[in-house]
Amino acid sequence: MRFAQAHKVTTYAVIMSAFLAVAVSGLLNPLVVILALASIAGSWFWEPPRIRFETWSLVWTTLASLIFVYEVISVLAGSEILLAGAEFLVTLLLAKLYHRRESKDYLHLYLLSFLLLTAGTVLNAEVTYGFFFLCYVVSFTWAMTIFHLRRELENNFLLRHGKEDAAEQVQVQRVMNSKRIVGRKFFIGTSIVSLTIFASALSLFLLFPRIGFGFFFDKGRGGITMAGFSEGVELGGHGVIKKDTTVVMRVEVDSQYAGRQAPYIHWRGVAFDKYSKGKWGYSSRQEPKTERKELSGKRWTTNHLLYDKPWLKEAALDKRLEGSLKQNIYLEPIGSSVLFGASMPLAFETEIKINKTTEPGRHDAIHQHHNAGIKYTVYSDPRPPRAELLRGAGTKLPKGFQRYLQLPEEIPVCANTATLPLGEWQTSDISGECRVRELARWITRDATTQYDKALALETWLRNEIGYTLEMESPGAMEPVEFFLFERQVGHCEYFSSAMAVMARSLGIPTRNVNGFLGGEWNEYDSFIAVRAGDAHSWVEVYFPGQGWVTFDPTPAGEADFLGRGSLGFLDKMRRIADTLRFKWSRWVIEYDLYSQLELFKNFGSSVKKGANQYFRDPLRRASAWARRHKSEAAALVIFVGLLIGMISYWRSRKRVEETLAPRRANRKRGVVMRNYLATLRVLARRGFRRDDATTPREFARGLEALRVPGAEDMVLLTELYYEDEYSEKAASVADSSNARAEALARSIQSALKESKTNRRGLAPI
Amino acid sequence: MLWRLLTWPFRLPGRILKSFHGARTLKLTREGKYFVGITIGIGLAAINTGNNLLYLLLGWLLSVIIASGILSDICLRAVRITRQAPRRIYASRPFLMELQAQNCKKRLASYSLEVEDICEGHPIDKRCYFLKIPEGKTQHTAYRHTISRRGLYRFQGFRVSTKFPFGLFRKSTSYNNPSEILVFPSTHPVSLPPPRGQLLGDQQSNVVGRRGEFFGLREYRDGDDRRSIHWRSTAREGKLLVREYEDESQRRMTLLIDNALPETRGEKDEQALEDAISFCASLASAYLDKGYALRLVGRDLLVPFASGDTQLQRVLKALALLETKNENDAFSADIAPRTKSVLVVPKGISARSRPAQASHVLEVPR
Repeated sequence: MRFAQAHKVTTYAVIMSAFLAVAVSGLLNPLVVILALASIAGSWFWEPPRIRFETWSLVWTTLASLIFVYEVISVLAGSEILLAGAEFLVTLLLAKLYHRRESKDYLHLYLLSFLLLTAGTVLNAEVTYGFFFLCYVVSFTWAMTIFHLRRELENNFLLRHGKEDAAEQVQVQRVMNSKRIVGRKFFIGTSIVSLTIFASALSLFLLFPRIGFGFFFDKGRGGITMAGFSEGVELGGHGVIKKDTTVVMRVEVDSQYAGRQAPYIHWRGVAFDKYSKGKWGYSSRQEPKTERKELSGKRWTTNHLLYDKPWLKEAALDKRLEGSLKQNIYLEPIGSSVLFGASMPLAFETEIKINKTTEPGRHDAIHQHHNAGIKYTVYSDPRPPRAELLRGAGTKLPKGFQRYLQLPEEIPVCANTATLPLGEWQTSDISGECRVRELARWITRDATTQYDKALALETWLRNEIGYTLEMESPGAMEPVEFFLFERQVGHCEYFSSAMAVMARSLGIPTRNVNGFLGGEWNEYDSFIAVRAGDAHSWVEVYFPGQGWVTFDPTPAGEADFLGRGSLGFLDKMRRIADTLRFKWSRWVIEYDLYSQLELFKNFGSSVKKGANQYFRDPLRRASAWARRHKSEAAALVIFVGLLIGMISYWRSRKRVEETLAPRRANRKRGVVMRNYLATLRVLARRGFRRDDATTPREFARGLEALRVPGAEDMVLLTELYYEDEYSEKAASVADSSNARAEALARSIQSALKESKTNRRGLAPI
Repeated sequence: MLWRLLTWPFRLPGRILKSFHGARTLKLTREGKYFVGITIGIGLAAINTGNNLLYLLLGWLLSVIIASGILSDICLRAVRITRQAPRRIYASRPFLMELQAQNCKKRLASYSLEVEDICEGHPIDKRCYFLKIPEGKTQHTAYRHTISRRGLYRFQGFRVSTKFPFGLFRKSTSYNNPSEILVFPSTHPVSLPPPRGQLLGDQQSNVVGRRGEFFGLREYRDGDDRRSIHWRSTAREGKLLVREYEDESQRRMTLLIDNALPETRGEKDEQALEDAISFCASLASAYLDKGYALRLVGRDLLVPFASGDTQLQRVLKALALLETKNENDAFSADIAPRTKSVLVVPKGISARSRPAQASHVLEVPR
């Protein structure tokens, strides 16, 4: 590629990388993005001799000023200052692109592109930023290197005619059109350099101590709200629920719950205790106790948020968590402060000072404020208590648990409980205001314990009611009643609400839980990707002495295990992209002091393990063997020593031979050597003979001191001889040296011949 | 390969020491100052906001600085610079100094090298630029320079610098390559003084012959015509002696330069002497061009008779190194009989013990 062309291409690559890093964030006005792309493409052809920049400079200055005024006004009108700034940067970039006259303009272009890239750190936190950042690093290395050479070329290839006259550039155009300077080798070399720079940048990124002072700003990145989960349940809407595939949560779990064949897990989020007019919410009476524990030092300011348990001593806490299912959860910003964990969570472990950011505690949900995603650990007990224990559970509720039996007026108590029909009947046969309660009693007619009743309700709902994502408005009817008796199909919130209400009508304490169900196993990075479409509702039933137990009355879908994604190409690609996003989020966006310490700890232990594996253990074994076989060990040591000695000797010999070889070769065929020897012979005939004790240089200087004609040239010839004989790179300078040696030899010989000087006739000076 | 790997830890300290060989100086360019400023700004922003992408940018900016240092060092490493002066350099006359840059690296090219020649401890005002020196290759360039005064000049070495790859820093190193350059006095066209009388036998040159008038005897040298051997003297002296004839094509001229200045001399006097030396060099050049055998005589100075280009070199060298003497110092030789002579004296300087019998006495500047 021609030098000038290479500079242009790489400059555009730099600009496009920076621009796209911001443009793909989706925050810029689409019209601005399209116009900017078209303008960048147009600027490629906007250059001399087609265009005279001078005639357009006023146009661009005016345009940039107008856009600046517009952006200021838009900021005053409430627009985001960063977006306005980014748009103005794009304008300046375009103005420079259409006015790239001197090397200074190119430098401005690089500066503007860098500022745009910096703006992208706030505007685009996705993995796409990482991709365009890599592109920027590579293209910047190319562009800056070529730019530097170009500027040096323009500055150095100047022919100055005099102090007053203007300097004239010579050969610059020829070099600009040359294909020899920036070739394939150059690009490969600079690519290696830029990738090394990128690797070094990543290393430094990991090594920088993450101490955020936050004098002026909090985390410099806004949260992105996702749909799929809500902190409230409202039945009775209409329309179609769409399955959103956006990943909201990535979970690393222990091996027994990992893999494509692993069962679904209920990722519990928020639980509601109050049901009224088709809505689930919180009762006004909240448990005031704060159920959290801070363990500083041992686990780096770790906070444990505990469900349903009072304060625990550290040892008791460890015991409680022993054998539980540990999950590392990376939660995306979902517009809620609720933390999720596998049912039933025992403890939440977060890494942020709890007293600063946590909302007032509720024992049926854990809240942690975050606006840019959060990483935390949950310890859960996914196995419910054994059925016998649940059947044997008492009925006396703890204080305050009466609220889990609350039912609204819309579900009235039956005046006559004897109306329960006998024999086979349909739900539609049941009439009257209290038919929900009637139905519950009928479903659980054969159950004797609370557990069996809950199980009967769950089974009946699963088997008798259909599932649909299409919602239909119940009108004035109570939504649960409408669902059970009229529509008889619904989505998860209807199922959970129906079970919770029916169970409560039977005196079983329940709460309606919102969260996510299951997820998709990502085999490339071993995590469960939970998507917004996995949002789910279910029921928790309280058994005195045993705690809350999960019941899910919603019929199972097509799959209830994590390997629901196919193994087809597109699904694999989707999972790979998700892996990249996860990695980016985990190791770049969410990388913090704790991750850093964990990384160093892991690295240190890996090194230690490797050292043990590769050095210490073999050494120990070898030493044990040597102690047992002393004579063999001694013989082995002697043998190895001899071997090393022989190799060293052989290598040193070889080095000497290699050093001598080129000199010997030169001595045979060197033109410089031949001329030097010929001149020595001529001098010898004149009586100037070099004895063995005199070095060639001493000999030449001696001739000069005696003012022998041609002595000055002899000095030069001697230096050439030295260079030819002893220089490492004599071959590369051979041509010029040979010609020069021949000329010098001729000059010396003619000088001697002309003056007819000999040793005896030389007059003393 | 295995051996190199095994012994690598032992060779590492040596390599590190070797890499520090040759002190490097680092200077920020204007762009480099901005770059460092931006880096500090991004660093402060990253620490303040905790935005990891700013940390990533910071890591990249620092890596660019590190890469810049390493690459510039590679460019400067294993480069050999040599200079080749022209055969004769005259004062106040521009000359071309040839520089030869050899990249001794086996695999890596050197880019964007600026070479400054260091003369008498200071870099000269011209820089030579090498855009690219491929690995193992040599490139030549030259710079034009003018030295205003005659004398011996010492060139200590070279200062090689590069701003490669990004132009953020100028890294320099010095290479020793001492050499001396003799600057001859400036010469200019002069008209030769007219011959005074015919006593020197100038008219004999109308007939070109192999032998002129008998001049004397000297020892036999290789290549002498055996017919010139003066057998009688040879028998008397016991060594071969030959007759020496005054060659008609080599008329003799003694140039005398009075290089004495009074104790209380001023700048004007010194300039007058410099002008006299320059004039003397011009005369010598003119006489030698005309085929004269020339001898240069001054106070504590003697260049014996000879002719041709080599003699010009000798005379110019002697004049280049001519030192100012006291007027009590005598001239190193008398004017030879039957030879023409020109005495060049600095104008306005009266000195004792000047040869009285010179054919011409010329005051310079005239």
